[in-house]
Amino acid sequence: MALILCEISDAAALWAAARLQERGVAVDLIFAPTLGAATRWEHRVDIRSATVDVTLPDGRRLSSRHAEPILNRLSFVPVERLRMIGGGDFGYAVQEYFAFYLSWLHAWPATVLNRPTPQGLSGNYRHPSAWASLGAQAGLPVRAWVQDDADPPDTAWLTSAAEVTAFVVADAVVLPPALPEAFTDGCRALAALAGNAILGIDFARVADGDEWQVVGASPMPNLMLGGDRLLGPLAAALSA
Amino acid sequence: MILLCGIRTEPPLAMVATALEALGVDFRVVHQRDVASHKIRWRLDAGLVSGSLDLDGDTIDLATVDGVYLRLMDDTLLPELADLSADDPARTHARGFHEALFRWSELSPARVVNHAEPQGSNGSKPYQAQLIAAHGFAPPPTLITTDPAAVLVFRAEHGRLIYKSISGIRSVVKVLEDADIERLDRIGWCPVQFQKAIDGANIRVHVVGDAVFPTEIHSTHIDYRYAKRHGGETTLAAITLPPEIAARCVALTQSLGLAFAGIDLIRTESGDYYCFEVNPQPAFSYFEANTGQPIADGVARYLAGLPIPTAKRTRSRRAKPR
Repeated sequence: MALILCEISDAAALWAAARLQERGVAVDLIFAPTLGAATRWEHRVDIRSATVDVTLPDGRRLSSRHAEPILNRLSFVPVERLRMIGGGDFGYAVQEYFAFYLSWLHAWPATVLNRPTPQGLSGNYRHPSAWASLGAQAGLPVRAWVQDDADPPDTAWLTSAAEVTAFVVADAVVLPPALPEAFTDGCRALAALAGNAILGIDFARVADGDEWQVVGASPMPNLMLGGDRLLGPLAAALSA
Repeated sequence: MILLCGIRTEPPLAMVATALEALGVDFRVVHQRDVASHKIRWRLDAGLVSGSLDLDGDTIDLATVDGVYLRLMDDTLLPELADLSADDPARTHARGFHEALFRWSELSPARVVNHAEPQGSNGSKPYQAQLIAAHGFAPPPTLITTDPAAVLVFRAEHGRLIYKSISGIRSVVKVLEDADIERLDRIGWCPVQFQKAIDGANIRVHVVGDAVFPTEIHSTHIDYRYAKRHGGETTLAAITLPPEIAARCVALTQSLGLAFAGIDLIRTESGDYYCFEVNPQPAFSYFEANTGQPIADGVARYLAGLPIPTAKRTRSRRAKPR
């Protein structure tokens, strides 16, 4: 059994759940609002271990003692229940929940794709300049990054439009046909440097040529772009 | 060249500036309140970082920067911008400058105190506790729950408990009293963190590179930071740690990716050490002012790539207010 934690509107997660089930992989979908409505949480940390025990409103239970692999597609904490908290307490509660989710997902004793980080519950959402740096370290061709004080900070987060996306799932690399096989090791190295078990790496061609360059990456990629070739590695990683 | 980024008069930044002057190290202060006259442009190409910083006409080649001390306040709260609308060009420039400076500092090969990414662990105390435990320091037994019954079981197991925030948002640490049990059902709204209360001596260990500056704290209050507010008293004294504990502090700091950290320990009567937290932005001035420990000198030397002398036992004083 694999657990998929996701938003109700996460089409890629729903696609993966359906296609994995077709391949005989048992999947239990847990939507973020259901997790947010859990009737009981117990998370313990000490020198020996860290454990978690959650009871969902429908009676399902997630426990370290019977931990199943998780495909973690949570981009943020479920806040539906917190909406009835007013004023400054709302912001405080959101911070508390994020800190809590970061800890219990980190403590989950089975496979988690991806483990949370302080920079994102499903992995580190890096700035494009950071992906450019890691891509270069991984030996991949990378589009140069230029920034100055006149650049609007918000738009700096927007990556260049991708033409194709390569996927890394654990040690497996799924390259789109357009990309050269020589990128395989670089993609695997980039995921390792980023600390991601699942990574989507976006490529685009240079403006006046056919050479491919990394233009961004995501720890929560659109899995549908990987197609059926992605399902084998995904099933394998979730059964590890 | 060293860059000190923040508010010129903020105590930690000002103390590091004084220490750099004493060492004769060239430095510039990127004074946030002068942001209107600051410019930056940088480039990352094939993994190489280059660019320039202009501080009111003083142009610095970013390739010559060896160290960066970041004490930046939220630029949207700068007094110079207080009366300006959100889309005022001065605000837009300030935001763009700080964003570009910050992104450069994350990728610069200079010694940076501290990079932002490794500071993230401090945003979740139980998450950080798991990292701390992995390095051999015992965190206090911790329970986070929405279930009052679980708290009572935990209390029966561990005795006196304290409760505090889970996140990095500062909260006053409080003891769970009998009177609190009556309102325990309120935790059903949001998980609350409880910990076994550990009795012993509070110790703050400032780690800079591979140097340690341990300070023992005696307070009349459970949370020494607020003793004065409650009519209590706090005394600080520089101490020497057992070598294996000092080495563990250095290893923990480095493993978290930090160059400078404030580690909060408790030493029990039996000599066991518990670790509560690793603070990645320690406002060390309070400790240096009350003990004479040369922490600012240590930070300055680290930034400049100079060896940091082994910390010596210095004096003990009743703490001045923060």
